[in-house]
Amino acid sequence: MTDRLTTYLDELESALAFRETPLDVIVDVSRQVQSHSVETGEDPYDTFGPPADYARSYAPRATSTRFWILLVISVIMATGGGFLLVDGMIAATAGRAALGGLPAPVILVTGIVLLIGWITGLMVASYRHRLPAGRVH
Amino acid sequence: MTESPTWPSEWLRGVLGPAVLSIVADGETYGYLVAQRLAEAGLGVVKGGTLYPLLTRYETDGLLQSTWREGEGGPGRKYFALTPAGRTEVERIRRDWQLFATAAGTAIAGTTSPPTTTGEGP
Repeated sequence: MTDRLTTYLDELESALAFRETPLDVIVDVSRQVQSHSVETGEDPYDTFGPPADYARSYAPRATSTRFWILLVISVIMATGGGFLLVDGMIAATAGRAALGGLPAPVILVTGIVLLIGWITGLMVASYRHRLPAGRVH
Repeated sequence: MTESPTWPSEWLRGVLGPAVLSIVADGETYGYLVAQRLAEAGLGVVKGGTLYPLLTRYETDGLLQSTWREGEGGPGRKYFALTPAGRTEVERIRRDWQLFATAAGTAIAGTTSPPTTTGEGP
């Protein structure tokens, strides 16, 4: 298998995974490209087109609902957590109540919990999104 | 060897599916052989980026079934065959295509009678 074919399959599998294509379909599509390219010696970029475009013909959905939900939750948790953290720190330093008249430590801890939750959520989503074996070809 | 002409893509879009199903109807085959048969038939080079998604779509629609067979040291080949529903579809296509080709040929060749005019006009 040529380096160019290996690169193509890597890009194709990533593009299919990004579109949340089922693993058995990713394996099947990748294997067909590999089979055809090895047998004919043709350049996969020429025969199948850019990997992202070829992936679209199997999984037309550009981005998933899950992606947008994750994005919105990320923005809320990151900005909200950051704001509460800063507000709690300022209130604690000044010795006054924080947002909503609540004690500064409560706001501070809430901010930290939101930020940790955001980072943990991103790591979990990233872990679940990757291909089980890294590569399928 | 004569070079096959380049057909307009909109023509091929209508012909490709029926042609692919008909080729598979002749016996179990795999993607590369289908592409070769299409080229031999004079339809030109059909790239993998067009052919394989079409085969997969027919498989998803229940017209084709497939089996992977291991190759010697290679990734193997995916063989396609018609399902009973696919065979029925090919029979329908072959029957209807004759009628369509005759009608299209007659219209395009310009041998149809001009429409009768009613004398009304701008």
